[in-house]
Amino acid sequence: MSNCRRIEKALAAGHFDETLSKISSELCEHMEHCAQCRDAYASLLATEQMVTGESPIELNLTARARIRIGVFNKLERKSLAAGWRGFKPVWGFIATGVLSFLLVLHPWSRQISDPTDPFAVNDTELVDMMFDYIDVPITYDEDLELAVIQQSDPELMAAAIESWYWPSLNEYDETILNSISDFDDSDWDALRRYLI
Amino acid sequence: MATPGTEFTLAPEGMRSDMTLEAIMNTAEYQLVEKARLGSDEAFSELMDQYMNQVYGIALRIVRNPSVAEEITQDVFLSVFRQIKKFRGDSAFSTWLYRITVNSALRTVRKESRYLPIDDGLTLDNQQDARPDPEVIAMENEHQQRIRTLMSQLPAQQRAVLALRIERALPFKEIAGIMGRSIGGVKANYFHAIQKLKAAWIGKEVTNE
Repeated sequence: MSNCRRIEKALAAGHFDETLSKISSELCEHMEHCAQCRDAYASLLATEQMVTGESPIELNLTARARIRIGVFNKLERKSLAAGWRGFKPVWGFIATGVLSFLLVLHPWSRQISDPTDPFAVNDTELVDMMFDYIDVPITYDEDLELAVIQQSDPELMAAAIESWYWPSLNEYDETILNSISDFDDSDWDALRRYLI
Repeated sequence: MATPGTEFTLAPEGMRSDMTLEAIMNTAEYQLVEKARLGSDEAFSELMDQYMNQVYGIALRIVRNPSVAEEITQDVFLSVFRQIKKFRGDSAFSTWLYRITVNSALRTVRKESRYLPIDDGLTLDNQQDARPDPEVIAMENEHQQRIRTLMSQLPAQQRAVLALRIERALPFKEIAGIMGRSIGGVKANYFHAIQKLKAAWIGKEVTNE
């Protein structure tokens, strides 16, 4: 019995077209004389037919429904997350910076840029609250109030505070002052300087 | 850019490559893909219905596990939904879809091969059966089960080639395109797969006897 494996070598080298059965006439001629190759080829063809004869997989309705639901559920989750997709961290930093700037520095409300000015917050509610806390007499100077609220004239405000009879000048309660949470450190320092 | 009437070589699956662009644009699939590209959920849903079996079948034959294949099928359609706007029609939609499927399945096998529970027989639970005769069903199922068991033992690349041959009967040229490999390489994979199956089948028969 010969040990010819020519057909297998030729097929391994890709000498076939769309199926193993489409081989060259040269190989066909060879197999007419070679029983070994003929058997090997027949066996390969049978295996190929068996494999390609396998029916494609058909999903049943339940599995199809499960896959559909899975896809749409994932799509829903993705679309919720899509709002954040493409949102680069740098935009987060920029947004935080802008927000901080707006919230802390109140640029729209500042007409006086002096950071040591304790009343440099044009928030009448806050100023009223502060006056209540530090027990400013009801008869306090209107000019002072005007200066504090409008912050239109720092010099006038400073003069008013200096000339003002301030009964709680040495009695202010730090905890009360600290409760005015919108003031920052420099505001408090400035206020203390004015009051003491 | 091609204009109507000019030759358009990258035709959808099953079409002649010498079809004109105009002819291709009139096909239902092309219009469906175009609608999906423009954001139509209905068109996307229809495409999913059309291709779900193929995607699942290819994935299942590569990963050898029905629940993982289901997961891959979902992820493939998710990718299609997200990326269809980028699909430029350089290849047929089906080629693009099968490429995503094969890549996704092979990636899963590579990443999770140590943990992937293999269902050698590729359970038929998920599959539809329209054959009426229970005896025929039993016999054919046993036969299929044996082939699938043997196929599941092949290397992943060979399983991928066979999956595309069995599920879609694709020519080697297209399989090579999908897998990003040479035709010679794909043919060699195919031959070695058949040869291994032959040897295993004979061994199995001997054992069974």
